[in-house]
Amino acid sequence: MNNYMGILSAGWLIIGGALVLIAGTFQKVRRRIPELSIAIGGGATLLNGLLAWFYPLPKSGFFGMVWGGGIYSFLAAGVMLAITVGLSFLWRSHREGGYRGWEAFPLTLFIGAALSTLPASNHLLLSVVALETVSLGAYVLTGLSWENRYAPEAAVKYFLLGAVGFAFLLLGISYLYGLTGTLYLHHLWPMRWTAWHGNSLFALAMVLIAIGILFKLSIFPFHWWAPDVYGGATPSSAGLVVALGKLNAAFLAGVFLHYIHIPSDWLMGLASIAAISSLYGNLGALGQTSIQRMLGYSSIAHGSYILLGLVSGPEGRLQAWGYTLVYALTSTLTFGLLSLRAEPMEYKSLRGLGYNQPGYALAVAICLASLSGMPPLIGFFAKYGIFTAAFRAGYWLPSIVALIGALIGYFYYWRPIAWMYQAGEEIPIRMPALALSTGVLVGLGLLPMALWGWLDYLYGLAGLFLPRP
Amino acid sequence: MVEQILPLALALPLLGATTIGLGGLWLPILRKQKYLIGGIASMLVFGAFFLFLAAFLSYKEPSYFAFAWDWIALDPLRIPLRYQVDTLSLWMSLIITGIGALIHLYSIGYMAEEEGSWRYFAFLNLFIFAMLTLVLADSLPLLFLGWEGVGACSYFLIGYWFGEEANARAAQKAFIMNRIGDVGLLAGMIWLYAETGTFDIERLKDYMYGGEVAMGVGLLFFLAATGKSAQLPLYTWLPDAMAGPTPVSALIHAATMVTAGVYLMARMDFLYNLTPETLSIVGAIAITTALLGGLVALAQQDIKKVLAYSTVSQLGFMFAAVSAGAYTAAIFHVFTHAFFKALLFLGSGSLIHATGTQDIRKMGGLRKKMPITGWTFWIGTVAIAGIPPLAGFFSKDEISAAVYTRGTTGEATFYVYWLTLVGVAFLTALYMGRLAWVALEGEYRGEGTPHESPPEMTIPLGVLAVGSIAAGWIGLPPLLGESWIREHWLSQSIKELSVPSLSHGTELFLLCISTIVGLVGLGVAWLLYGRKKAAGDTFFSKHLGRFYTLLSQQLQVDMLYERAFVQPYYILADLAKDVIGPWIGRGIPALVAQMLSRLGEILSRLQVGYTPLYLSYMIAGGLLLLLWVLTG
Amino acid sequence: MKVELLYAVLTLSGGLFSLGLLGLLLRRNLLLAFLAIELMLNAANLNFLAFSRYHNEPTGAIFVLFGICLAAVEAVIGLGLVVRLFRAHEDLGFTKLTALRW
Repeated sequence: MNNYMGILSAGWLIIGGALVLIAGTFQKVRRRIPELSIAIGGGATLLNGLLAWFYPLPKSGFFGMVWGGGIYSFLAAGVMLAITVGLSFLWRSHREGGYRGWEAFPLTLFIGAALSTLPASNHLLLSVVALETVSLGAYVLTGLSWENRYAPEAAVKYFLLGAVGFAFLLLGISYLYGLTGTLYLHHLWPMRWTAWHGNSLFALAMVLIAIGILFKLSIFPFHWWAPDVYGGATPSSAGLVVALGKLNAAFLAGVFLHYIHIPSDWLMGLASIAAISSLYGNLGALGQTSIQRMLGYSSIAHGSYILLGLVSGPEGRLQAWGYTLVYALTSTLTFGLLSLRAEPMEYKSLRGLGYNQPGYALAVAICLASLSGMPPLIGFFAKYGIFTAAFRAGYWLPSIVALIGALIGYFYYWRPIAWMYQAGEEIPIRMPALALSTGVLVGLGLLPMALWGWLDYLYGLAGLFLPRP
Repeated sequence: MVEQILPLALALPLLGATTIGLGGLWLPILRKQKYLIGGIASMLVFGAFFLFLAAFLSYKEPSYFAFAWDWIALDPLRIPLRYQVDTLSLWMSLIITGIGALIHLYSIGYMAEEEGSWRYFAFLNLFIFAMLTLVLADSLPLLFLGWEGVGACSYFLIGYWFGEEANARAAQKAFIMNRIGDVGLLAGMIWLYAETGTFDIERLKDYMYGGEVAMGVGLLFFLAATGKSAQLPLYTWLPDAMAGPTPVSALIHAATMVTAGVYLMARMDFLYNLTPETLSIVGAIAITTALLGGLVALAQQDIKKVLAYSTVSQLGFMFAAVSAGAYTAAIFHVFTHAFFKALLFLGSGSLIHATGTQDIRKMGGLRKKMPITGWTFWIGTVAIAGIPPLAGFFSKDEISAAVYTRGTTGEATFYVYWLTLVGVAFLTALYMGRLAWVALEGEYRGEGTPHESPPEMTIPLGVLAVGSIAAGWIGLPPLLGESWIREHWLSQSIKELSVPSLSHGTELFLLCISTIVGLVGLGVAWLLYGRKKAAGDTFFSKHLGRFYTLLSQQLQVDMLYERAFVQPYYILADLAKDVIGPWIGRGIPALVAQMLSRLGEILSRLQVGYTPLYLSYMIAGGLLLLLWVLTG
Repeated sequence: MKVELLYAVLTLSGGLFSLGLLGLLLRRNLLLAFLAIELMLNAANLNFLAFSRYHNEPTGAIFVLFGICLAAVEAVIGLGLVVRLFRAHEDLGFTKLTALRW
């Protein structure tokens, strides 16, 4: 069993997705597809969680191409949790849209299979296939709508620019293959990289790969697609699209940075780019009037925090992965919650929501507060981890600049909250609202910290903390 | 052995809370199965109790149960998720799960007619889990988590009938009063961390030495204790907390949660041993609280209010023991008090259940109509009055002996404390005698015909009555034998302030005083309320006049607080709204925000929406990157 | 495979890639843009083949099979988008898509 642990969850999801695909061709079963898909996604979450619990030490399997158990199952569980949450929001729009576009459900399951394999991959072929499967699925999810007139435009832009980004990445990997003669990542590890630090082919390969990854992370100046795509995508799937892109990039980058020794001045350069990107994304988000487009801009800023973590050594990579999982989950929740409303996503339309629908408004407010990095919430701990790692790695200036960006972020994240609790007649907050807020605070703040501790522990067990030879 | 038992025992109530909570939320069918829900909840807590009992029987030395990973893993801050079993925490766990299980059982009968009792049982189970986390925690943050968890559960359960405004207000009052105290715990915790760099309680012991830190942190922790354990000046939430269902008052607001402050100070014994001056302050507050609680209890007509103030007063006794450095005496009193106060509350619940009122003037003669409730209530009364050989006598005597002993070491104020305690012991016997005679004896003055409660309510009463009689025998005074709980059990984890032992003569004298005071108190109660049929209240109001009226109005502390704190706070808030906000808040910050927004709008004009231009930006960026990398 | 030949192939693939990039920048039709992207992907595939022969190691060649497969899937999705876009705008010029901006 251990040898197949790495493909257990992917197999479950692919078989499940295929079943859903077949079931969907029958008119009668079609309306039950969301439930079925959510059950399969939830099952995968549980399966991966159990694997992580019972096999804390990861094992290599399938001809050494893929890892299973331990941190890899943990990450897969996190991915599948975000995807299941995303699916449950698709459910609603699916029902109201008259059961058209049911293909999104099996598609999302296939994406889940690919995305949960990506961090566990030990072979670049597998990585590339997984990465591109996720990206292709994300293009489709972006354009998935009959009502939203912006969706086709967003999808075309995402597709064109994404394909170019992928071409850069592929070319870079081909040069890397030419340099090393292997596609196994663990073969890359013991190579004497310092000998290549003057090599221009190595530099070219690294720059091309960096472009591909920075594009997916939506880092300035490769971010141009992000506001348009996230702002124009169908709201019910936009959260998923954001989550998929960021997870994709963070996993691939984390693996690369673990196995390949990058000169420290290049890393410093990446950190500086991250700092600029943070400023750009946060300032850009400030000027928006639509929440969805604001979230699109803010994804640039979040990408920059992730990048800052990724370049800050082994601990930073751990924090970046944790941050990405948290961001994926929170952004899926935020977009999903906002998509439940029929009104356009303007700030103005939120006025008085806090009094008319206190529970819903509170949930949105807490998600936004967590994204902004409010202390008792998990978003704060995630940012704290990233910035401490960056400071420790010695990126003083970039960290401070990025922090200023994050500070600006508070302003635009709290603006919709301010709108929600503005005007309207005065109704005091009742007992259930207070109870709910306490529950969510504990649920989003204190308990996930234990999960973070678990991630940290598994990361150490997987040897990802080890210094390179 | 203990390592395997502990996670299971902790998991059981948590499992109950989640399954009942989620099941009640999502499965409407389950909500109707009240006996099933109550049964599951009780079984799980009983299971936890038996597991702790097994741990107790096989106990050899302190042991730990830890998750492999840390709760908070943000270097340099690492807080492990670790639980510690030593004699103190195990003893507290036994009290919590034992009394808790009985009260769960009782609640099945008490809440039988209640819609939505799943909410009640879910929170009750969650409370048990949080309380266990509090006492078993091995580091201060985990303790704090339990501390806040019990606070939240208490809030939810006080406001269980939140449809009525008064109940919701009582819940919020408890919450806010407790928050004031929690600031102390949090601040003390952070101060300790700043000084020593660790949150681990065992390691703190090695790092601490006397001085301002120990004193300051000690006082801050005592502030936390005054909040949770209802001491002056933060006690006012406890009488209001009686708005919740009576079993909740019994479990949370009498037997377990309110003793958390005592537990905290016993756990932090090393801090207080280093600075005995802190303990003098604790003593002054504890004695005042005990006296105040006893006096106010005398003038209340609501049966639960009497018991609430009695709890405040008894908690004062416990802190008096702490102030004498006799932490084991405090924990011993926690133990005996848990039995008889839970018994009294559950008995009062049974009376309320039968008569439909909380006013003792509308009760009377209930012992004949409800013999089990009546007799057990009497046992509880005699036990709390401190009559030998019932439980209350032993623990109270140990406390007064400890306070007296502290006086012999040269701290003269402790003689005053001791004298006051004797007075409060007299008051305790008096107001409890009053309660019992007015409510249980004489003629029935209410409406309807009260009946004895169902067995699921009377069985816990019986068990608790046995405990109220016998619980004290594990802590015999030195004159009569050996105190097992002090010498053989708690001494393993608590280090008391060292004081000289008393001579046998003095000890005999103290024992006699305790007994006589209790008997005299009950005797006076009989004279005033038993013989002359509730003539005592008129006697007191005639002789005490306005003071008695003040007492019956609970000294008007609430109004005092309203004037002293709430009103000024409103004024401050208005100031912020009308002056600070518009004049200072909208000046510079608004300017900065405006400028940044403009900058953001200008920057986002780069985003022209034209795809080929995006592509060329990207290629340009890539070329720049390549250029930078190649030229170094 | 000799180094000289390798360099020749690498130059060729580099040229292909640049050609694809230029095509993307200059063409305004979505279908032609797809062709350009295929060109860029195949430049990478050519690299893999050349390096595979140079190192005498088969994984590069196998990679190409997967690369072609991915390119095909990409084309399918791209054509789906073409249909979708044509229905919405009756036009395949992707440069006119500027409703999403600022």
